[in-house]
Amino acid sequence: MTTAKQALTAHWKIWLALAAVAACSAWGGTALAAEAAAPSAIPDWAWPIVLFLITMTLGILAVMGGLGGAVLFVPIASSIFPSIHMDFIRGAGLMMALTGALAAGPGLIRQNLASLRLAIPVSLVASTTSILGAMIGLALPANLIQILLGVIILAMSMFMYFSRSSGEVSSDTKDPLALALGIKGEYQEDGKWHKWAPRNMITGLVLFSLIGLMAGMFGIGAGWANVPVLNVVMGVPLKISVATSYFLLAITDTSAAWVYINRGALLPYIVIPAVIGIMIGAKLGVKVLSRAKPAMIKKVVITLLLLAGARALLKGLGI
Amino acid sequence: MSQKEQQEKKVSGEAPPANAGNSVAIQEMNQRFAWLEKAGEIIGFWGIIAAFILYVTGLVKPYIPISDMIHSWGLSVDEFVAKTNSFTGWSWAPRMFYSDYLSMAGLAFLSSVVIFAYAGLIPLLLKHKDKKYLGLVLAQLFIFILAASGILEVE
Repeated sequence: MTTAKQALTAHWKIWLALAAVAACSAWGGTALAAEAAAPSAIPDWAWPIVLFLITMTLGILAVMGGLGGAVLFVPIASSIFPSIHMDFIRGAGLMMALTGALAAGPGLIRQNLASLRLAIPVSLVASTTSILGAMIGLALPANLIQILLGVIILAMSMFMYFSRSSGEVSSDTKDPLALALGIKGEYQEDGKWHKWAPRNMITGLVLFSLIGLMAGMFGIGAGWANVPVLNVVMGVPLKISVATSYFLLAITDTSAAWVYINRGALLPYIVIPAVIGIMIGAKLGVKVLSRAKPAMIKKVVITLLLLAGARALLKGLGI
Repeated sequence: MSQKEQQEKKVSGEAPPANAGNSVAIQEMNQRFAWLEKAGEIIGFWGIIAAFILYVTGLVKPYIPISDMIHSWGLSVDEFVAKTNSFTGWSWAPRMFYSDYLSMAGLAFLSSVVIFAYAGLIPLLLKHKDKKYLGLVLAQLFIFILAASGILEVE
């Protein structure tokens, strides 16, 4: 007798077809929304309400999909609000990622889940390159940014689809940098306490320099990239990786946000309703999460990302 | 409970307290950072809401009228700044009596919360004579100040 999982695997073609239908329907809906979002279609006073409702919905979906809201907001908002330039959408995305990290960070740090000793050297590298990324992002033409964003979002959705298990945790380390900085800790799992210490510090720092560059350039929080690098490459336990990622996001996005502020790329009329919407959405998402089926939510989020990535790519190519 | 007693409990398999495995210095750093971050987040969040209410209700006049802004936000940031005569760098700061720049001040505050929290770690690192992390924190503050200063420009 086949299990439900085997049945799902066996009928992958049906699932693929269903996903395609869903994607096409959503594509049509997005296109309609894009038309509706023309400046004349939405009264001036209604923009904050529209932005608030959309970001709140994205906040719910993002939490259920294990993502920050900005990574959904930037590609989706740039598709459905073609009248807003990418510079301002990316600025709003960065502030959304930053405030989300500020809201979640203190609790995780207080519980000693986030490792400041690990995060401080890593964030120094990531925040430096995020400034560079923000400067490059604001200097490049919008269509090139759209193409690159599309490619990254598509790659990310593939990564989410294929990522299954967590990495192997290293309990001891011979990494000279980790030893020199005294980076280690303990975490609780299955009622027992386990030691951890990071490995591959140099590789991790190189990867975080790329993550910082990307976060600044596209205005997306990079939690989806932080966690696998910490967990799989550096051998940090998953729960410590997730908590430390929030700390890293706050540092990386702070540096990049200032580049956007100084260039005049933050419009409070867009940013503030988006920030409030994503925070309320995230709180609602946490409540819904306990009743939702994680596998189904993951599929919805991956479909949304595929759609948003493809749309950003095509828009960048002028198709 | 002494460290030795905690260690014995750990060996016996009984769960130690939540702060086990972290030295006093790290616990102090975590608590200080978390407190400063939380306080800043609360002040900043309610601050932007208050400023935004003044902005959208028109109780305080904005520098760029909302309809002008909406009809210009399709331009790139440089074109937008040129068309609306808006301010870049820190030149908006003396104009916080306009509601849009007051809202911007709230966003700038939120973008500074982590900088304050980092600065708050310095006395602890000095107290515990942790020179390596003191150097890293000072380097990070230098990066923050560089980003916030507006010195870095792209043409």
